[in-house]
Amino acid sequence: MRGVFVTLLLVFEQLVLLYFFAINTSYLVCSVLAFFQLRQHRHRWTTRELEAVVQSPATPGVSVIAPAYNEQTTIVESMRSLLLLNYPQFEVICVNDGSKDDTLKRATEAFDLVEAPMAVDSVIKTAKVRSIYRSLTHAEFVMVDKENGGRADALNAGINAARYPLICLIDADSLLEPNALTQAVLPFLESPDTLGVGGIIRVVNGCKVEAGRVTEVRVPSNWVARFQVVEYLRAFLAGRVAHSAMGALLIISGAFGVYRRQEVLDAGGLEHRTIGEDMELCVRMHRIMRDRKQPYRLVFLPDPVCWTEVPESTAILGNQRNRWQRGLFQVLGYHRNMIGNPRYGIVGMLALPYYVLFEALGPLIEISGYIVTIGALFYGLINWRYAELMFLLSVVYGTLISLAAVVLEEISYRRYKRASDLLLLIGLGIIENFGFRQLTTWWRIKGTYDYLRGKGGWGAMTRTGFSAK
Amino acid sequence: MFLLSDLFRDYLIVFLQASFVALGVLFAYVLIRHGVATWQEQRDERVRALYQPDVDAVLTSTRPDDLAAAIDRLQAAPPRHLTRIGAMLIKPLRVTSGSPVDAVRAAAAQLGLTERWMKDLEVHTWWRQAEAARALGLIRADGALRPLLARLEDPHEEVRAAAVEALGHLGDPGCVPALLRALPDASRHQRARVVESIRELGPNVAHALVAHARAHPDDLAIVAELIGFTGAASAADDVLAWSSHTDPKVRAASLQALGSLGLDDRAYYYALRALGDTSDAVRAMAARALGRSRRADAAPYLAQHLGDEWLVAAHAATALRMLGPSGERELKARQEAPGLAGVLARQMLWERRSRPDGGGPT
Repeated sequence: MRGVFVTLLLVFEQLVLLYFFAINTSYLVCSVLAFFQLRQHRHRWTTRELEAVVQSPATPGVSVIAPAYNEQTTIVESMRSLLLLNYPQFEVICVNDGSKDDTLKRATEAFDLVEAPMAVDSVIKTAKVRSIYRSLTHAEFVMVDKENGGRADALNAGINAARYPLICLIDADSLLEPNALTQAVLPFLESPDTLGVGGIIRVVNGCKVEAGRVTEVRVPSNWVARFQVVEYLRAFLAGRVAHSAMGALLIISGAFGVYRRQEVLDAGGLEHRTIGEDMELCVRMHRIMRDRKQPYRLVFLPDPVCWTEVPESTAILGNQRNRWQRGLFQVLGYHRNMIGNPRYGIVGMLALPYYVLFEALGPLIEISGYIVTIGALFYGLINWRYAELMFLLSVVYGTLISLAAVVLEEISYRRYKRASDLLLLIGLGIIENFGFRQLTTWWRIKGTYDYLRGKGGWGAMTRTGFSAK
Repeated sequence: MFLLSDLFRDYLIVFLQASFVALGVLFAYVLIRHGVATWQEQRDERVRALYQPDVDAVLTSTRPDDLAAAIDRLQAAPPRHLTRIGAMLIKPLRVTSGSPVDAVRAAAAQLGLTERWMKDLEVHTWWRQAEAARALGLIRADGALRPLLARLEDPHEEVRAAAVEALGHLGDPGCVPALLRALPDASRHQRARVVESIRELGPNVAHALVAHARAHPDDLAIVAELIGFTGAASAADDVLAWSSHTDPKVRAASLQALGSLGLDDRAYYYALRALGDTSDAVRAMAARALGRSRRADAAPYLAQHLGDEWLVAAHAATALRMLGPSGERELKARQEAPGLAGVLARQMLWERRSRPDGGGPT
């Protein structure tokens, strides 16, 4: 009996080792692919291109849709920044999703909102819309006030009210850079097959924000936020650039994504029963287009920047990661018959299995690895030196991937101008291996457990507001 | 006993060593890269500060002597600064025309930049080709027409794009057939550039556009749109004829163009007739054109479409808003109507009250 157990332990230990190499090597491969993509991209999209978009009569109008739920601290600043966008034809639709605080009141005072009759093409069913407000000072600003139905439901109400062929879905607390829309629209002009474009999400904590614009980019002083800067660089500059290049982009972040309105309507809008509605929409679009055998593109662009405030406390960050994990499981559950299905090409055969193996099951395998290592030490299957070696290797490999992300940032956009910030980012890539990474794994395991228990809901997110920075 | 550590340790140590080396290399690379990039930024700033007064003198010179003196001063610059000076000279041309373009053309010729950009059109790095094409277009370089036309066939999309833009800047009507041949390019962006370039050439291109449409019936819709964008009123009769085409896309594009060109009596009745078309897009563009015509007698016809499909109803409502008192009368008559017609009428009446200019064209 003991022999069988030891053999199983031995086999599992080897599998974990194999998994560790596979996951980290896949990240490294993504980084290398992203390196070449970013170099090409920088030469390709020049300032001249942006001017052409701004001046061209062929540039399509964009409806920017921002759902707001209890956003009284950031609503005015966020909407102001949106109204400053450098784009020839756009409207900003803020959807107040039954906020219990003064979100509507603050917006009404700041933008001189008046209740206005407004005809809406209600293609997608949503919770009841109470009123539509328009601004007397900003003709392009519309506020939809509706009963609470969740983020996806609010976005659907905004999509119904949108006038333009392209819709930009963002979070109300996000700050878009002035040229973000212009840059995000380029792939739509480039190819009529483009259905959606995602931009990069960067961490605004620690940056200097003036009049709704980020004027100085700095690494945050809060350690929880600092770790997330490196995480975001890794996820966007390495992961999404590479996935997009392979035609396997499964997420356009809910914080900033531009879509063709008609295609979103045809797909039935955002799924309000999931908390991973951004990923769900992308996967559904892949599914629909591949079922129809129509050419399409979902693209990630690394230069349209959306600045977002990330959690600064472990409790809120834990809630967020728990929610992301539950959302991931929900989406994979909805579309389980796409996984490993050759009918869905690279999405079914590579992207979705990658998400199952490395994103959904990753935390479970990682924690099992720790447990098995302890077990193997106990049974004398490995010695301490070997365990130390393994740990050192995981730290070095993890650091290598973080450093690669910093290199990608440096060769592409150089947002962090100070050498001290750059060194700090590299340092964070090392330090995160001693506690933060394990904590993240733990939150994701809790998320997996909560998903299996059927727990729903978003959890709380406290904002400090941009003006305070 | 068999130990995992015995099996893997040696490999892990080698792998760890390799990872450390990679880490060191990346670390050094990122620091060196940061240092070099910072130094380059500072150098560019110094070069800009050094030559900006002379570049400004070239751009603003009103007398030949001043221009010659400014060019002389720039000629004293070391060759390694010429690329930067060239970029500084052409940057303002993106938003200006007239005498600064002539001055920069003269300066570029004397500094050897024109010759350099002509040579760059033949190099094999696509971004240098594209930059050179754009620069030659912006300075309206003499003798650049033929090399730029040749670049329309370039395998790289960005080079073709730059060539299209440059040809638009050159303003030579001789390039119209070549530009129109570039229309079927797969990229919509490229088509938009062609449209923009043809727009820059102005209303005189009407004849070439119509001839192209006759030779390439598949391009009728885009040509109709182009005619609308360029304001080529001399092509109005052809566009009117296309508004009865069998393809609804062509009919819609033609009515869109007619809306931009303006409706004469005949076109007005065509637009009224198109309100009864089977295609939503055609009815919507007919409503748009009628709104832009500002003809009061169109109001009752438009009002009948307030309860039509969403796209048509929205355009009809906007058109009524733009028609002044006659449109307002029709909107008021329907503000209590059930469904979409009533909601749209109330919205447009509200917009007329809060925006006395009628909200502008759609």
